[in-house]
Amino acid sequence: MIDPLKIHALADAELSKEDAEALAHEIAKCRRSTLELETIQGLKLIVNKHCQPVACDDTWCKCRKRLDEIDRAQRVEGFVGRYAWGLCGTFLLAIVVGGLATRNGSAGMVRSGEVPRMVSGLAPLALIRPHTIDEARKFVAEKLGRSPVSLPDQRISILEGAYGSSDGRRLVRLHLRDSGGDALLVVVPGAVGVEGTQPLGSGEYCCGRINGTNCLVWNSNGCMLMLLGDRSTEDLHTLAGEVAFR
Amino acid sequence: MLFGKRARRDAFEREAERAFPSIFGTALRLTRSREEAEDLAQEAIVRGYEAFDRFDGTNFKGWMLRIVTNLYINRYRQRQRNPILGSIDEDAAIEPVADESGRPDRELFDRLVGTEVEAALGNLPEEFRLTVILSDIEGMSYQEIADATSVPIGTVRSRLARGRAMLRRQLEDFAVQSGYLKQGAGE
Repeated sequence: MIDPLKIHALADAELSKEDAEALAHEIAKCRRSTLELETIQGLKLIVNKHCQPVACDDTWCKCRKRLDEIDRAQRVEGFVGRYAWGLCGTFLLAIVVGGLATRNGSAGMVRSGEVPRMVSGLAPLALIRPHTIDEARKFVAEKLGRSPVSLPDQRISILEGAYGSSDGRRLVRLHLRDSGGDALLVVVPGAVGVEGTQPLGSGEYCCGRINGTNCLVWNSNGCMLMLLGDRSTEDLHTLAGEVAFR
Repeated sequence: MLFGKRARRDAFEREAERAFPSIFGTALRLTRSREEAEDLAQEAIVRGYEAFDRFDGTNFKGWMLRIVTNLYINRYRQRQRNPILGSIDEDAAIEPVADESGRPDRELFDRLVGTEVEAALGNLPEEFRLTVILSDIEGMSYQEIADATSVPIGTVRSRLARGRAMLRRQLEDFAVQSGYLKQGAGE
């Protein structure tokens, strides 16, 4: 019998015309080979005939949708790739503008986190321990160029006065003592209030608690005044009435 | 540029739509699961679309079937970890396809129906099934099958011969079970 691989090649039209003719002639002389060729051809025919195309319209629709998704993603990627610098620049600009707007919008407000640095973290550029109230008044007027406080001659003594800068703000800090104990008066030119404090009564004063200490905030002569002490808000209010500029 | 992309998409879609029944049919006959065949066919379409610039323009269906076959071999067979080939001696002597008794197969072939042929094909070991599908259903040449399955052309020839012999035996078994043929009738 002829090599079966050659008979398969003939059935599959894989031989040249000359080789195919020669092989067909040879096969015709051998009954087994002829039967083998017929069987192979028959098998090919029934496989081709019976293995029908499968319905696949739904799957093809899904494929088209996936192609649409790929196209869409490529369009977006192309746009982002082409204009990446522009987009980054725009975002950066928006962030900077937003930051500046926020900073300018709240420039007059002292953040509650700044207060402890004003109270205990201040590195004074000038420091006095006044013997008289007049000395203290003069110190405040000299350093701030104005007199936002009117310190009374009696009942209050000034233990120390400090002038310096904290978080970019100039300020004067006075250590007061009266019959109720010690208190700190912080005078900040240009500031208008302290974040987190609430209006008190008519709204002239604001009060709050910072680091466990009561504080009272008000404005006078272009400055923000902040009084802090271990005493009630009412006592702070009374003291504020005495030191307030009239 | 935008027009170029649109034209490329249209050209791919036109070719793919025409070849898709073959792509999906091959995927279905390989995986024997409609769900997996859908995945395989979709993945092949996506791969084909992404690589369409590298298509040489001669035989789109052959090119796509090559992608399907490679995807199937790499993805599904590795996942299934089913080393069918290990149990089959590919170097074994090639047996004739025809009945040893010399009885013609006309009676057998004439009475078979589609489901029996599909089932017999589905029972073939993977590599033989793949080769028979690509040759006898999709009409690919030995060289195209060798390229698609990444095996030497000699292996394609022997797989095809052995695959057809197995298929004929399967069909004969079906015919005997269905009563078309009497067992040992030809012996």
